[in-house]
Amino acid sequence: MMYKTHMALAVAATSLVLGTADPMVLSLSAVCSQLPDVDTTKSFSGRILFPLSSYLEKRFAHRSITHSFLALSFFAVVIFPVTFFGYQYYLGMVSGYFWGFFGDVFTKSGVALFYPSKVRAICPANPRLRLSTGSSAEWFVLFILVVFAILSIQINSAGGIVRNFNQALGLPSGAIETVNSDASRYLLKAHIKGRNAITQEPVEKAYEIIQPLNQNDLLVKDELGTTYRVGNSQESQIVASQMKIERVAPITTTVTNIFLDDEDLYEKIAALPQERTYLSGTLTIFDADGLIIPTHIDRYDTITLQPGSDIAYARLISASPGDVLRLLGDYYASGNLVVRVITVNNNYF
Amino acid sequence: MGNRTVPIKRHRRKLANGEERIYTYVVSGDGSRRQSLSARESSDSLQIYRGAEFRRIMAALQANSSLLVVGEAGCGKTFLSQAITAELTAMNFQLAVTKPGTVKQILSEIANQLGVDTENLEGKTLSTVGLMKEIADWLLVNTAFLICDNAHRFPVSLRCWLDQLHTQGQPILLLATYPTARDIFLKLPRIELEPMKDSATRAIMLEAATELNLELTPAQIASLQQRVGGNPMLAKRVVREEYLGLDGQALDHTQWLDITPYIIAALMCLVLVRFIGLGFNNKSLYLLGGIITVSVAVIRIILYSLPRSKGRLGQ
Repeated sequence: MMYKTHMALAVAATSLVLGTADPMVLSLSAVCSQLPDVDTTKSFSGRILFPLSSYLEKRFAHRSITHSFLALSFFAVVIFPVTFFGYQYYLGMVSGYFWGFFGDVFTKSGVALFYPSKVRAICPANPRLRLSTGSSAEWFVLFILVVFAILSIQINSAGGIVRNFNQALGLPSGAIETVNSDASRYLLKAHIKGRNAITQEPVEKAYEIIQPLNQNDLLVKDELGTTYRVGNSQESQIVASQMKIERVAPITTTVTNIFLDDEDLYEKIAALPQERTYLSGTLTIFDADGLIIPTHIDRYDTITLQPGSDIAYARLISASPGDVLRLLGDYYASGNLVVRVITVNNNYF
Repeated sequence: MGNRTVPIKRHRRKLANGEERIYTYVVSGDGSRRQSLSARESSDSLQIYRGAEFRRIMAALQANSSLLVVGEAGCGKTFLSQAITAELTAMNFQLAVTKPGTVKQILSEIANQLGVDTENLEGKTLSTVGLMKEIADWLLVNTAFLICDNAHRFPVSLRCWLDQLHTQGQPILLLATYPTARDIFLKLPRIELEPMKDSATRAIMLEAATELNLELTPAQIASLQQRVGGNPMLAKRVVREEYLGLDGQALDHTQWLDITPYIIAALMCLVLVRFIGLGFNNKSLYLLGGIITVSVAVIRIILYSLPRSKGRLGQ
């Protein structure tokens, strides 16, 4: 095999097996994929490590001692100190070396994988179907491997195979899983295809995600700040058949607690940043005689009220400060609120 | 037979160019015919490459015991038998070496070498059965070794006769390429010739290159050696192919291991993803696992439906 093919195979396989797109790990594996060919002075690595290659080629057949599990274990032991810099680097190097010789299994003369045994491992058994170095078939294989390597790197840099698979299918359960893993680090947008559960109108729109509500549903808002429950459960306002998650921008989330002890809500809430601040918790509202919080069937109510005589309980789920001020701003309340403030880290907004 | 000389002769001759060669002959009973067995350089030392086997065979024959030597074509059986022949001849043992031919030709050859009469009292040439009996009777009362190369080609009649000789205590050295596991082949203690060491095949390749006045770099030899697989005949052939400028795609040694099943087995392990998805109630993993399962099955079908290599050359 040509050194390019070895490199492409090592990069593609390492990226796929280790699930990494780290350029350092991949370049280490590409470099190490050249090391098995140190058994001939004609190879790239053989010319660089000339004394070693000259020693080896005088004693051993090509693709024998350095192309074996014996050499691989030796190599793995020798470079063990690399783990000091990072385990991924070590794995990348070992994987590069392995794929560097394993690829030769598909060539005409095979590889003595089990050196010192002279047996040469091959696949497939018919020599006519195996590759010869520099043949047009090998160039074709190289092309496919390069495509695989690019795909694999792209998939891994976009969050790995499973995530990309979820994205491609747009499966709601998969999307919620993606949200669960990404919500704390990215501002996410859900591209939703489905229907409105009340009006039965088709929906095809992007919403900003506020938080996952449970295994099946997401809490989202549109550009006007109207909140919806999206998913497959009965309470959803939008029944989603397809959900694709987009990372909009990296975010920093700060979480604080507000304790209220029969205090004016307005003072406390107005001091908070207004955009992308979400309040959750239960408040005891005093003197709640005239308090009415309208309920909506076509949207998700982030504030719900359990009325009572004189005292009422307001339950907040990711309510915006604006809503709280509008509906509860005139009241005194006691309770504990969790405040989630999301700051977008770049200049997109 | 007392006045007969040893039927196999070995001469060391110095050639005009200063090389020394050893010629090995079979000489017919009356000395009128001689046939060359081998002509090799005196520097060739068999004991280097198959020394252990050589000594073992010599010891076995001298202990009046028979042996079967098996190995792939070209692994050095004939070379070994010639070395044994030469050594036994040098030690003044009487022996007969078979040559390829019909049963009758083989038997006549043995009879000639041992000096057994091939004619009956009336001057008629003995029949095959007659020759068998005559030689067997002769061997009962005389000490001689029987060396049979290419024994896998022997027809049943000859093998039965050898069986009979073995039963009467005749030391026989049989050399055969992968013989069938029956009769005489099964009865004799067996030595299997392993592939030669890298150093030995390399020395043979260098000898062959020197003979052809061909300069090979270590890199070239290392590359050619991939196709040798410890087989001395192939070691010489790849050098000759290089000399003739053939790209030499022929891969005729038998040291192969088809790892297709292992590759498929490794891929099959990925099918586990499906069950992990099932176990964790993860629909995406389950679907992904399903796709992997089908892909592995497709790869498997394709790999196993590829045309097989045929036993014939060039196919």
